[in-house]
Amino acid sequence: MSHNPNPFDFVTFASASPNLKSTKEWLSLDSLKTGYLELQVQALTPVHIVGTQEAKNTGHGQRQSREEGKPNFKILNSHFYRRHDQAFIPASSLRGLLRAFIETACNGWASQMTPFYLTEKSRHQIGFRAINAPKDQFTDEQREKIDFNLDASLPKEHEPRVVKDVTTEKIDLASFLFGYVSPEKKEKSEEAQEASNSSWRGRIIIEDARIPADHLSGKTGPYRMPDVEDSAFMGGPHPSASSWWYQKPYGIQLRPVKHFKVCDFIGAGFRGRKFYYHQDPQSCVAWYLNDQNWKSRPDHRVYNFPIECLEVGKTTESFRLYFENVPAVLLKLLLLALQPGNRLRHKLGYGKAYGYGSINFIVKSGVVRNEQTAGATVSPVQETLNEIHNALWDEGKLNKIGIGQFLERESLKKLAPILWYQEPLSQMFTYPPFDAGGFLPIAREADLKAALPPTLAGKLSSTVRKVIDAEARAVAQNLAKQGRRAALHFEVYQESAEGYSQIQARKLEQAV
Amino acid sequence: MKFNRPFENGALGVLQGKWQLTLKTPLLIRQGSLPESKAALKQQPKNFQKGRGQEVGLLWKTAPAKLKEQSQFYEKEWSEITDFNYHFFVDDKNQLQVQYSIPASSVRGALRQWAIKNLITNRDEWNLFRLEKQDKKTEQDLTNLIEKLWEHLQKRKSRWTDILSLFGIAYDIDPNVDNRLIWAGRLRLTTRVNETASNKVLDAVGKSITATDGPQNMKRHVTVRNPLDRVTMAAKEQGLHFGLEMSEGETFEVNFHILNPKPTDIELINLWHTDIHNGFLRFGGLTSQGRGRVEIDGEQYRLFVSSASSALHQQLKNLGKKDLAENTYFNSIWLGAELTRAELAGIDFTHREKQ
Repeated sequence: MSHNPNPFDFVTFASASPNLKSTKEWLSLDSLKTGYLELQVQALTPVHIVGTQEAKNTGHGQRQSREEGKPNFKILNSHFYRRHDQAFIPASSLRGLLRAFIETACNGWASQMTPFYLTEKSRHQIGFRAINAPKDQFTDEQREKIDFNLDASLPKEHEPRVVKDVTTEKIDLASFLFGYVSPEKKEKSEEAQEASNSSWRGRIIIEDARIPADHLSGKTGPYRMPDVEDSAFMGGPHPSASSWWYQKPYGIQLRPVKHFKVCDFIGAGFRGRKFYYHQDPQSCVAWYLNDQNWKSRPDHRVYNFPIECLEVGKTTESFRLYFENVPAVLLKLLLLALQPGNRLRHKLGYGKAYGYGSINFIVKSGVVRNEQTAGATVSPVQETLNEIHNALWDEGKLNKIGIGQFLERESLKKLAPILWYQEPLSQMFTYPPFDAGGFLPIAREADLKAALPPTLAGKLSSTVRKVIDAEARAVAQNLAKQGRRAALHFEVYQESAEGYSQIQARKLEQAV
Repeated sequence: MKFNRPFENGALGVLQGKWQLTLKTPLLIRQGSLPESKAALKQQPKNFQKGRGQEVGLLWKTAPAKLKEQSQFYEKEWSEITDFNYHFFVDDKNQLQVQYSIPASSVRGALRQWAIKNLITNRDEWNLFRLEKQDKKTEQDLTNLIEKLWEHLQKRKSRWTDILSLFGIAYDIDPNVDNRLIWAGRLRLTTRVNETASNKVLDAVGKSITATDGPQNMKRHVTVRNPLDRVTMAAKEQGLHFGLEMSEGETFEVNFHILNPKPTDIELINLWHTDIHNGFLRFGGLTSQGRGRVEIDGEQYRLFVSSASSALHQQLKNLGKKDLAENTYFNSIWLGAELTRAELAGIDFTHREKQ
């Protein structure tokens, strides 16, 4: 059975170690520039940031497993995020977007990570560590719910280091620009962090982006989100160690249940950093609302609710991005991150998986002054922007203007097909369903027998049998052919999706 | 080289300044991280499975007890929220009151930090006079450090002298040691939040509520932050933070006076003014998210000079301004005048310095 590609994909962590320097080294790269850019966010697809969500008790559809008397709820509408009646995109969202892009494009650390996931018996999920924290840093309860035989899922070199003195020890480029707090100091106050050399105040300040009232869609339509009563539509991400979805295949083990044995597909090592594809939200949502595509179940009735959006083509008011004592060459990199070409666009806010939140940064103007002091002469940034646009994505030209050395082409080549924006947005991306075409059913030992490659035949037991990726792919492909659990292996699922070969034909060099 | 100590000729002039500031972006000054200083926020009624901002509430006096009481539950109705800075005082009816306030030290710290980063051109010298934790150093270490710093101030033409002269420094080892590095600063500063009719409004998750509990002397709002995990793009576990901020549009006043004003002080006032307007000089925390940008909507300067500083006295007299010291105890001993910033820049304060 054919299926759409999954709405997100992973940019694998680069094989090379991140580019790290002490703050002294970052500062000495080039002459230092201070100034600000006047920016606007323009919506390419509707943009929604969640504000107040009105909901009501539907009073039906109670699940057996639910606590007695616990009612179901329906969201009636989702207002845009507001403060004193003023809608805006929070600065933290804009910063997060730019930082995540720079971390990926420049082979930096993964600065924000949930440190561990605990075993959830009801979901048959195995707990694991995302980062390399030693066992003695966990509570007794956590230790019981984490499999310490598995290595931490984030590659060690991409985990932010504990740095005691940023002037001599090394941090990544994104931390230099956006700030660094030693993982050991995160609980301390901002003042305490500033007074210590183990933190670094970022060089970038971004302000909230206000939205004029008439640039918003109505609160009753036309943009809508699918949802199910009772619980979340897709549930939160569960990057379990008993799956090959978020994690790379590690092994297979058999687990006895009442009358038979089921297979656990053990994963270890994150596939990479997640980014969402661009698509048309109205077609995508309509797809989910069609019962032929997405089956409504009695305890998970599908409905939809309106979301208030920044309308397509409309912009926020101007807001400022300040940079303070940033080496000139890194200012170029920042401009590149804001405008990575007409074919590569960022995504922001709620409903990214359904096509919402594709945006473009408009650089309206900008002033740059040389390092220190107030009142010094200023120069506009348009010339620098033109220089960057002319260099996209030619390796030689990017090297010539000085920023090629910071860009990780291996990552960018993987990022380009995901962030590729080209109208019309005809390619649809949808989540695998919770049935045989997707995440279900569980695989019994008997099902697996016919799906095993010769190298694994007869070798499975209740202890983990390690697998290589070719073996895992064979298992996943064979199970899918049997119509069972098509979404076992993330890459196999994507590669077999409709239109995936065209997606892979999107090349970085053409993203200008 | 002789190094002038502050006030060695006594107090010869005072500059009083008043700035009326309007917030262009929110201001965040945290009350503290102790559980007792937290407020409590409710976004949803208990057992609500969907939606956001359905039933918003804020607890202040009873917040610690409520947060403690529900700490045992997995699903929590009330969340901890970091409060804006407040202080207690006894009013004229002898009642204990509480008000939100902007600490003078916060404004002073921002001005000092800006001065260091913009006047000290050698980046390696930015932390030269930072007060280290003394318990990590021996008395001999400190003595050596102070000698080194004196040497720096005396042998080189460093703008640290201007900064330390204005803001003061207290490198203290032993009261009996003569070589201490302690200067009282010449700048004194106070702040006052302006109360307006809109003060009592609190916005939480897009909803305005009137919180009757706790300080209410400013318009404020709740901010929510939660970083996204880079692999799942879901909210990072334990990354959710709520905070109370002073809302944009609110106003506050900064009053300062500078004893024995120097040309570099006036230069600094002008530069501060420019960079406050441009947004490079901000106040409070979370400036990385654009917090603390203000505009100076009103400014007032009053200069008082002693007749003992004859050249300065004469300059002020020549401006022909109304004497503010007239009809005061200082009549004919001091001369006072209200000046614009431009007029202030035209005064030659070096005359006083040469005396």
